Amino acid sequence: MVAGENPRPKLKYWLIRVLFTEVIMELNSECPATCQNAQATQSRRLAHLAQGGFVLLAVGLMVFLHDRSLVRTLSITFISIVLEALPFMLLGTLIGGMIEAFVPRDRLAALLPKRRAITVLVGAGLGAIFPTCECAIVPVVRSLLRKGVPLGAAVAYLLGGPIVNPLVAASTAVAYSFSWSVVIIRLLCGYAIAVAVGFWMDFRFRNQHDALVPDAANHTDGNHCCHGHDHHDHNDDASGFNTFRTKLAFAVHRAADEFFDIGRFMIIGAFLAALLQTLVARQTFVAAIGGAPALSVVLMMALAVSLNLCSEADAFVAASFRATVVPLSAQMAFMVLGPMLDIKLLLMYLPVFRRRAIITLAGATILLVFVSMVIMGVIRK
Amino acid sequence: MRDWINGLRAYLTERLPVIAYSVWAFFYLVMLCDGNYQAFLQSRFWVLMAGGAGITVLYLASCLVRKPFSGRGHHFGEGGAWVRASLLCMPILFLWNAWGEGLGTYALSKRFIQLTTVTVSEQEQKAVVPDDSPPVGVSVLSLVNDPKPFMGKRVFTEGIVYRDEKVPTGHFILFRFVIACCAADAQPVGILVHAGNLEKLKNDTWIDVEGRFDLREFDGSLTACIEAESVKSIRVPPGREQYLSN
Repeated sequence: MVAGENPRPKLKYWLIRVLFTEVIMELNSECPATCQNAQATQSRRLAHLAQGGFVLLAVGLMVFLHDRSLVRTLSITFISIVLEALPFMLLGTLIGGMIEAFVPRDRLAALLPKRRAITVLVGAGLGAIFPTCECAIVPVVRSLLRKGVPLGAAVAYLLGGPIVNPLVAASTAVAYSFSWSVVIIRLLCGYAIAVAVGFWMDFRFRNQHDALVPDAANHTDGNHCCHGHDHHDHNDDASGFNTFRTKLAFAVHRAADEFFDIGRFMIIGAFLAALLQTLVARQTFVAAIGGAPALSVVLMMALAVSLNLCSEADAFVAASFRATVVPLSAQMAFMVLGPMLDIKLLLMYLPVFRRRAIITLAGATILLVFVSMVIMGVIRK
Repeated sequence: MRDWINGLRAYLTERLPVIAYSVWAFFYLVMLCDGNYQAFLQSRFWVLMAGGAGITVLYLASCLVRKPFSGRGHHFGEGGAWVRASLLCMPILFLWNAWGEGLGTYALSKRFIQLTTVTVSEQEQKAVVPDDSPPVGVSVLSLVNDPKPFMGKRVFTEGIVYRDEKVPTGHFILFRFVIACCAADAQPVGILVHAGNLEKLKNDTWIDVEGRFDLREFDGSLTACIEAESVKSIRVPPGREQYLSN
């Protein structure tokens, strides 16, 4: 060490680097490629360590505390969420693989409206024709983005698809004893917020690559992925495979690889959601509300993020709050935010969007749901 | 020895996706065959389970007949592959623990219980005539959803016992969980039961109750109550029979 040099800044910098490598890497766009590769490897190692620790913790819980009613309830809730979400996610990856293999990029581009604004408006309403649940939609959106679908339209579909669809309308109608006004408000709010967030993401990330992780980005413009592997088999339109059979095989291989890569995010999210469901009593939320409308909206939004319910089932849980002090605007906040954003989804967004984009997406969605529901509460008064 | 271990490790690492998909395919098929998925999902979701099993088997087959073009280079490395496979297989461990079990009073304590409250005029209340015909078998959910047809009648039903400090002396709540899609959205529904000797009845006990269906003032509202004539402990039903469906 040079005489007189203070070692503290170096130590501080090292600590910050270890803890926030991925964030530093994404924020420091001027970092040379080799530096980014080294940081990416380090951040991946840290992530693997954290995930490995998570598995060990779960195994420990099972080995030492498996007979406690808390752990049994946690197990049942966790397995229920996984069993319900897994087939949709498997289907989503399969559809994603099919899109990659069978839909040429130029044909998709020709199908999309020329004006970006219209693609956002169409994207938010696509769920009405292709009903998709929130677990299946993430891999599909990842494939669409790879094929060059604009970010705003993809985000609008991602947020609107799980709400603006006939199955959700039917389940909401049944849960609310065929109160059609509740159904219409839910679908309209879902659509409007999906469109607004889609526009905001397009505006905020004019260069799509700033929002997407390399694996999810469209690579036709010469941008290359930083993790140094060969992209010949998963970033183009399966152009080397001309027959239906080889394309189908490519689609299934691709889908199997995709699920093996990103399935873990759903598992971690489902576990955290089950843990929250098991530990936190719903009465706690209602007791905290105490009749304050804005607070009730905030708390019901927090509940929606933590419970991770399927968009076809959440209306039944929301309806159970009718007998309490929770106003309809707060119940609506629960039903609109839940399918757009929850712990499981936030984790599933990681292999699609960069953290900055996830923060922007989540922040805009939360803000819009909150403002619209508070306004709704005031109007209903 | 070290070479042998390294060889085995490399062999297993290459086959981790095959292992993960085999494990899930096996459990999907077992759950579909014995119907145990109903301990977690609504029975109508067998389609979901069959679809999941089908796609898992398809992915397994794809991993087994892997051709060079499908190799992704595994950018996540060996450690990453093990982490991914362990996370994908992790739910199986919890499935083992939850096998044949159902939610009980612990889960109830974290949710709202919907009790059978009835809105009846004084005239309607007076018009109820005790009916001594043989008891009618009815589910707790039917009593909660539509209690009026059963007023004054003798009924028998089954459910789980729950008592806390809020429940009046000499009473307990008989409840069941109702699921819309899966056990994560399970909502408890219950009915108040008045019975003489409650000492033997512990929380989480499954019982059969037979008695007259009546109305009681509870927590400020008119609540349906079974005036129990007999209360019998029963065997805990298998997980797949523990939930009612909406």
